[in-house]
Amino acid sequence: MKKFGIGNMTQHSLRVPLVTGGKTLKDITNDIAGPLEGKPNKLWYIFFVTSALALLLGVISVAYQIATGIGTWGLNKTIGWAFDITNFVFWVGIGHAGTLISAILLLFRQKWRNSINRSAEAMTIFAVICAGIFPGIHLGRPWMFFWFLPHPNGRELWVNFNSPLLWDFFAISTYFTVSLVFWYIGMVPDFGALRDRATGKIRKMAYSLLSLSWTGSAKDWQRHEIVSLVLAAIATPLVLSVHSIVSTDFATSVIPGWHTTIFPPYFVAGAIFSGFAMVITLMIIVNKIFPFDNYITNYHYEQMAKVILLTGMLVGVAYSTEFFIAWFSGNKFELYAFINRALGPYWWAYWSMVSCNVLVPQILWFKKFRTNITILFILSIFVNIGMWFERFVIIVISLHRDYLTSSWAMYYPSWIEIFTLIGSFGLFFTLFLIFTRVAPYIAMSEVKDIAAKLNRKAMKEGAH
Amino acid sequence: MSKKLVVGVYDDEHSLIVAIKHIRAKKIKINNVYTPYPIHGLDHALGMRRSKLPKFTFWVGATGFTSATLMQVGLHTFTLPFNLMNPINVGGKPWGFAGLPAFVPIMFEIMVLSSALSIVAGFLFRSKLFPSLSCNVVDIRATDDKMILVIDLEDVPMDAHAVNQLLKETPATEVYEKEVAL
Repeated sequence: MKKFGIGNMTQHSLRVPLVTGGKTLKDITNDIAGPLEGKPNKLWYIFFVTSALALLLGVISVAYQIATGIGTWGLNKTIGWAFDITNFVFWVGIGHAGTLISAILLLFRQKWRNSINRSAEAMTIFAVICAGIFPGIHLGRPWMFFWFLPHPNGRELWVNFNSPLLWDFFAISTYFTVSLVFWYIGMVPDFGALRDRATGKIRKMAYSLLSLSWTGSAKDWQRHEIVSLVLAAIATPLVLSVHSIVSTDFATSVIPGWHTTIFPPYFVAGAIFSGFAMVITLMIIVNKIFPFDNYITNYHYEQMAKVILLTGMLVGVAYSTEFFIAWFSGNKFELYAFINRALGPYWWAYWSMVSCNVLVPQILWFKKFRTNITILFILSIFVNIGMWFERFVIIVISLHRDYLTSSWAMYYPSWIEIFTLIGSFGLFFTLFLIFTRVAPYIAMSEVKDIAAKLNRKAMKEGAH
Repeated sequence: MSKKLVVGVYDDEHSLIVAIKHIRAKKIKINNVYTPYPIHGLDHALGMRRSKLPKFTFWVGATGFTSATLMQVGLHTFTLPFNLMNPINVGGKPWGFAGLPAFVPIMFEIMVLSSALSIVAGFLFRSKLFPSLSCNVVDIRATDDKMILVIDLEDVPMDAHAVNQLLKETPATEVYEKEVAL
């Protein structure tokens, strides 16, 4: 009888291949650049028209609320932040998975990130755009947004650098800029490949412009590698800082349920959790439209599912820690805030949050569920809903019952607010679908790197 | 004006590295190598120096950090034109240097922003990557699936025929001559 075979196997064959189907370099270019050159299929149009209509609804409602004022919302004197800030925190959180995949997993040399990092970064950019819209509208007079910037002015007044809202402005704009630059620099070589394949004149000119006359020379690649590595190294603390700073919007105030030191790590874990769910949702949809099964395999989904399971449990620990500390602190306001979350008038929001974020992801302990695309898709939707409710719970439930019973109130979103949320999803998916048509959805050069190693290994093993 | 190039085409990174070692052992200068993806160890094989970009980025980042600190401390203490003590006192929170802990987030963000933008700008500038409507590439297969090695006849003390022979000694799948306009 043969003993355990592991000793005989090379380290490589223990690993699951990240690109299947025995792809050559030429196949990779054809597979990834090909869909950009033909007409999109029917499914793409269906998704595009649906999301463009949602976007239109959003544009109309945003125009209406800017013209009329934010009195069109369901806010009142007790609840000054509600739907709008919930959506803002939700969208910023979504973005975090993209940077985690593109930067943190690069530093940890997780090769499976290579075929999903491009789309995950695109998701980051579009999610941050969606996020930026909400505080923008919340200003009431969005054309005055430059008041956030320290600039000499007739009021002889500078911005308040002590305020987390200002930190947020700096954090989000830095995050957006750095992510955009990181994404674009990664795409330059692929734009070069598209330029060299292009047949039409306009197409060739457009990709020449985008590719910044990239030639792929050895020195350029050496610099490109260093730039990617340095950007990853600075994007890693950046992404952790962004949601930490978002959490200080709440944590530095004296509202029971907000004033806790656990917020920064708790928000970061939640952000990664929700972001990975959104990555899975998007990948499954796009994989339906374009045939990328050989590049985004079950293994990729399984890895992402593991991250969801881990961060989901971190979030679960945060929920229970909050409860424990509320009781242990001996602060009756704090304790009341938490009992009110679970048993108060908004109990349904709290329990949807707990069941979607903590209970449902537990099925991912089983490999059968981690590799089942349908189950994963449904689960990712659950997590998205749960994480949206988490922000709603934190913001609305903490605000709606103040220290004074005279200012207790309830909050219900107006139609305008709901339409704006739908519109933000429309914007997100519209941008993403356009992206799948103009830029390589999978980072060609990075996948070629993996495939070349794979082919060389296969040749060596064949030679034995 | 034009210059004459001899181009060797390789199918995989292994044969490219073998070829580079072979050519460099004969002290022949390689003009450039174009590849569809970054090849580990290629810079070493070509004898390229390390990039100075990280050092440059470090100093720009440090400048960003310092200026963000000074900006926040300064603006919380003075009004323009910087001759009037006029501290911003919000809720009795400390200002000037005493307020430093509250300034950390923005110090950090500006450091990150300045270093990210500087390394990218440095890269584009050093590699001369600017948007242009057309691009002269030696062989367009270099962005698809081939490794392209280029020798400029002006750089080497050999004639075209000898360079052709030299490249044919390496595992090149194709060797050809090309004239490019300067």
